[in-house]
Amino acid sequence: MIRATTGGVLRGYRSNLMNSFITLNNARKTMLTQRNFNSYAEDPAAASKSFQLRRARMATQSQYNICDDTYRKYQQGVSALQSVNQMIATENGSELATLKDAALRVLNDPSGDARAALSKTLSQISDTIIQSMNTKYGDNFVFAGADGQNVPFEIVDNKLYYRGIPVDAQVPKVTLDAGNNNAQYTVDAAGNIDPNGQYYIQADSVSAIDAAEFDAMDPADQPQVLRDASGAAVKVDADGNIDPNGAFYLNTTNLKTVSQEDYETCQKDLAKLEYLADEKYFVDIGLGFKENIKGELIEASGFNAALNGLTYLGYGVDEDGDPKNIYSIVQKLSDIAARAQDRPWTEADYNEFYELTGKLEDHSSEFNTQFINTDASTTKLKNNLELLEESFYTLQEQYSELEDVDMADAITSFIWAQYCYNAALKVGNSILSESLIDYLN
Amino acid sequence: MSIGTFGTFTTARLGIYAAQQGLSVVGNNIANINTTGYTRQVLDQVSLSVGGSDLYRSQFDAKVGSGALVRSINQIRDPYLDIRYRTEMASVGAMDKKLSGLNDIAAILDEIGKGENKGDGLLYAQFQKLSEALRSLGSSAGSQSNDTLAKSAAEALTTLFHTYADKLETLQKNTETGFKQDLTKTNEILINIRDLNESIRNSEIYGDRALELRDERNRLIDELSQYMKIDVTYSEEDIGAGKMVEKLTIRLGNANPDPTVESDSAILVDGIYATQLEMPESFPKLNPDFDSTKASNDTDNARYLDENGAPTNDALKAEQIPNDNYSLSLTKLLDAKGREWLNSSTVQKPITPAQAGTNAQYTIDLTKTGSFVAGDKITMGSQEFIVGRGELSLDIANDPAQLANFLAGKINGRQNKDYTVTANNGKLELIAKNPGAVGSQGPNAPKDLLAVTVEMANRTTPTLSFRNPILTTPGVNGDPTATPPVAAVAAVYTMALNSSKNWRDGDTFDIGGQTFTVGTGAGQISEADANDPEKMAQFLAGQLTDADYTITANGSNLVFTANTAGAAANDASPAKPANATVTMPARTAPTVSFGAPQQTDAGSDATFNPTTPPNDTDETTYKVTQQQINGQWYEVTTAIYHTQPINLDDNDLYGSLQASRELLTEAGEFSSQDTIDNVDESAAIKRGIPYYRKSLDLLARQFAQQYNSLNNGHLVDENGNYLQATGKKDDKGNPIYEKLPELTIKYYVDADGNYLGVDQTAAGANATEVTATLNKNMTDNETKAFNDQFPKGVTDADGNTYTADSIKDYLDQNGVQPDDVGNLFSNQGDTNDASNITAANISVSLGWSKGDTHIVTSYMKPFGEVENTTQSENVSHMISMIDKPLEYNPQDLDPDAASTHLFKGSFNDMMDNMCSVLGNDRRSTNVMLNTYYASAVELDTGRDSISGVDLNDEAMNMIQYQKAYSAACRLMTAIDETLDRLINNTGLAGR
Repeated sequence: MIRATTGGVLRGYRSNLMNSFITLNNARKTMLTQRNFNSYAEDPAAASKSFQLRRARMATQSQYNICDDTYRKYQQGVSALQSVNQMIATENGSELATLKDAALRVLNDPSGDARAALSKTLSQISDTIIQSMNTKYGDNFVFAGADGQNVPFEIVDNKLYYRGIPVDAQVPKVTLDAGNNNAQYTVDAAGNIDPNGQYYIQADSVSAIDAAEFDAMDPADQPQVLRDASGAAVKVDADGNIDPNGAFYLNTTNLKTVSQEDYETCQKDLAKLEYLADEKYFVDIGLGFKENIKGELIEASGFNAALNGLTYLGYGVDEDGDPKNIYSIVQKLSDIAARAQDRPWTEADYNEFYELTGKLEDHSSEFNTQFINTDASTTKLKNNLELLEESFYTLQEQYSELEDVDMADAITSFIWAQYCYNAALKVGNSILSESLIDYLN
Repeated sequence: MSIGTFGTFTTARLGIYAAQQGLSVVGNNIANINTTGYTRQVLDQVSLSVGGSDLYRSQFDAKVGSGALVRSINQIRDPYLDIRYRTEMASVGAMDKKLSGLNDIAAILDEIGKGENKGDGLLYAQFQKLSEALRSLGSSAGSQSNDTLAKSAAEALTTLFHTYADKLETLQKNTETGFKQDLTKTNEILINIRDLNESIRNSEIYGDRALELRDERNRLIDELSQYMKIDVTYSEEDIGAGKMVEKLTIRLGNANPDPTVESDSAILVDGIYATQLEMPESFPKLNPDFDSTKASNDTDNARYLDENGAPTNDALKAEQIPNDNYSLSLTKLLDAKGREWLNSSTVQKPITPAQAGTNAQYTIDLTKTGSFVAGDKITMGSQEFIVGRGELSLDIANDPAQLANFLAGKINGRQNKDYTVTANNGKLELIAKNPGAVGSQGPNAPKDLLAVTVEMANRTTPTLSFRNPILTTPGVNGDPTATPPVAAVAAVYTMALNSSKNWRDGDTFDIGGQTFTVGTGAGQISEADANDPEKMAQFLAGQLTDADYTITANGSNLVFTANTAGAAANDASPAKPANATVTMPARTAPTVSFGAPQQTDAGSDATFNPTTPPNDTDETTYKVTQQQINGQWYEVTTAIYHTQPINLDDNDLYGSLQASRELLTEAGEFSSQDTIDNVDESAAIKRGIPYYRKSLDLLARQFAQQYNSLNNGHLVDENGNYLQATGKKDDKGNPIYEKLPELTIKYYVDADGNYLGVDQTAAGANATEVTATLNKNMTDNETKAFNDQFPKGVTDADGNTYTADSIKDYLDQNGVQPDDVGNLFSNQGDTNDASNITAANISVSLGWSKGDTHIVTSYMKPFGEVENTTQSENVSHMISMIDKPLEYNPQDLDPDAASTHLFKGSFNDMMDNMCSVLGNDRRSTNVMLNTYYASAVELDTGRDSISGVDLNDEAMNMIQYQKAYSAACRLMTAIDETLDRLINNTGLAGR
């Protein structure tokens, strides 16, 4: 530059003074807001990261709330299960006798004097168990699976229903056709094979006649046997299943049939029970909550908050035709006890009661296992709550590290900026005050 | 010289005047030190020197000047710095405006530091709050209060969308208002510059340099340079009578990178004419068939199309295309009185006239070979000239230039009435006296006239002989009177020489046993000497030898002086040489000939073949004339441009105006292909307010679409099979459903599993066949396949063929929807219509707000009948949706958009992306602005170092002029005292 003019120097000074002032202002802003950046433009990457962390924190907070809610529901559930457990098995010395105790007392009451009372006790305990299993948390029934708004267990005519489905549902055994892949075959109302028939033959009512013996009989004396559409007697095996190589005929006298509709209803009821025993609904407690490519929730990423009452009490019937749920077993025990009141045990009653008591023992054990599982899940929820809390604070700390200024650094920067600005002002004073004009005399 | 006795007073007075002027200039500079745009002025002072010589002084030394003259007062400016500064200021203006706009957008969208917890953000946080509400709903589905909570969160979200959309719309309007104000300001500047140009021009005509007006003009040009890139040039304009004044021209600064676009260098100001920027509300639709090389008309070359697509030349009748692009146009250049600016350009092409006219000029070369000798005869037509006789001397004949002159004179002198003939440097120049004299091929007649023949003169052989010697001096002891005369030592004989005068160069002669040549070489005698007997005698005296005599020449005689007496005694006289034997060389006849006539000027009334000027257009009128320049004829095509309004191309401007336009128009990935192809090739990477508005709209639309879709599903059983109604009810009166007939179709994928469609032929031979069953849980490929297949008809297991357009259509017809279904979001609060949802109109739907619609917590109906009031799998989808990566396709918002991909990510990610794009743009713009600004400040300071006023400088000048003033006054006093001595006190000695 050949010349430095008054205007040029002032312009340069103004520009630099403004820069200095802007720097001071920025340092002041940093101090006042206590933030490292106040817009995306200042640090786009940090801003983006910070929002992600804040979002995660907010999500964690809401997941904590959900987890807490679920935990409390589980606590409620565990509490109910615990009282049921006590009712079933625990020797607690309270007034309320336990199921086991009552059953044993029934079994060991030779005269049967106490059976009437014990029968009532059993019945009452079982009712109480159902009441406990119908416990609520908030507005929802705890053990209703995914149908929390409706009472899960209902007793109609001494039969237990879970969400409208009889828990003792069983599919009746019917005779099969060995010549047709062991498929069921239908019969008409008279008990003869009819492809358009509406009935199946119940397997437990089958009475087979030796074919040779039947053929040797005078036709007038021959009982009614299963015949096909052409009227020919159909050979069956000993269990009544059609078998071309069978050595028997099926005696249709006193044969019990089940309608196709009833059969399918039973089938469906059982399938429903199986489904409901394993029904799930998921809540987000911070395990990821992601969906797969088909839009289905990845189960491991959510928490299954459904507590299905069936899982605890059991459902269906066993091979002996005995119910597999505690309530029905107890009801049956109660019925036997009532039946055998004020008299000594008949052997059949005793045996039946004894076996049932054993089954009650088994199912009580299963209940206990499920109870422990639920308790473990409760603990898991509690642990998760702690993790979420920790995560919450960690996230807060992380974005705080990104966003919040180091005050020592900020103050130093501010002081330095102020110092520079003051220096710039000082320089300005000398620029404005002196020129040759001032020295002209 | 001294002017006179009192002349020195004038010197002193001029000094005083100059110093006073200097002080005035200093004063003016100091007074204007803070005036924006003021340029430092300096005094242009020269010393005065008067011509002539001093009376008492030599005129060659000791000249004294006569003082100082103030010639002018000038400004000091560096035009190069002006150009650089203004270029830089266009960048500063552009970046400043852009940054300001981006900051305004950021003030709306940038949520850093906003919201709860010192910066959770607003929209960011609200997505999470909705997510939180959904989680609550998920954990206790069927709860009305949780549905209401989610609805409240959704309402807050839509309110935020509205707020942002409203603010962006307001920003767009404000920016538009600012843009229009900038346009007005720019137009004012252009008008002011034009008016200043006129004032400066008027001042200049009267000799005033109008420095202050120039300062103001420069300030305005500086200001203009922020609005647009400009190119400033100064030229001289002839205003007639030989007077030239300066003309300022400002053009657009050639900012458009497209080399085919010329409107980016359109004239803004040309002297006293200026244009104005206009932003029409709409443009008439252009007729693609319009031929701009022809004048427009209503019949077959109309400029526009009307609403029916019919051509019209009336802009008012044409279909109006809204000016959504904020396109600008320039009006005609007008002066202050509204007169149009006309400009012209000329193209010259040399031509030959079809017929030369009067005064047609020709040159004819004269060629002469050989040399003429006297007596040669030149015949020209009927005239004969003998060389060396009369006017035609040998010299004239042998000099082509003179010969041409001679012959020209002779031609004119004869009966030639067609041409005036002159000669110039060996060439004949012919000027036709009438057009009839000239044929189309040139002046044949004169050439005939000029036919020249040469006839060589006959020549006799030159002779050279001696007469007998005569004793003229007897010498010592000699007696010439005795018989025979007595010779003696130093006796002298005179021998007369007979030499003819027709020697020529090249002649040779033998004499005295020697051979001599007439010529100019060594030992040769020149032709002139040979023809002079005395010179010949002298030559021979020098060449001939005799043992007894010394030979000298006397006139045309040779004189023999005897060296010894014996010489004379032995032989009474010297021997006379035999006559010379002369040989003449053969002579080539000289020639004179004329070349073909060359036309140098076709004559003022020459005629030309007719020429057709180019077609006139609306912008240009053409005129063709023939002009003779330095004798050559040219076809001059003059194009007269009538300035028409110019529609500026999208990128013709660069500066704050363009930055505003880009803020108002650029939509980045939302730009249409048409815009990219025909308006701005960089449109896809430029992002202004529309980009952010559309991004926000797309986010809102995506959000609404996803949640509406999730809330409009169909019932499925526990395995995901869609259900249909049966009409049956259970004990509690709840309906019982059953599976829809199973639907399976085939589709095809490539080796990587990419979907190829349902047509095997189209998929190709290598495609793999896949079977899909209609189910809720289908992959994207399966969903695509069903949506593709439905229009073609899908047949179910029972043989029913469906003609639904999509899965949704099919399920709407055949499936079952829960009671709660319905759109959660709509385009207005009083409707359920979810079409064309934007950030500005997204609302909680009427159904949801009235309670007819709720969030469907589950579509699952196990076995078609089992109740599951707290099942929440659909809420799970909704929760997952908050963080689910989604494809944002600009075409979903604007079908014309060129790009199909904007971003992939969650709602929050999309928001984050918008803000990151904005943040990065702001950041880079800020850096560029700082760079340009620093550069501009530096350049301005550089300009100031040249043009600015410095107090120290002025103080120095002040002292200098003050001292000069005092000194000049002192000089006047000194002279006064001196003259006082001379006048009053001289000659008083002795009194």
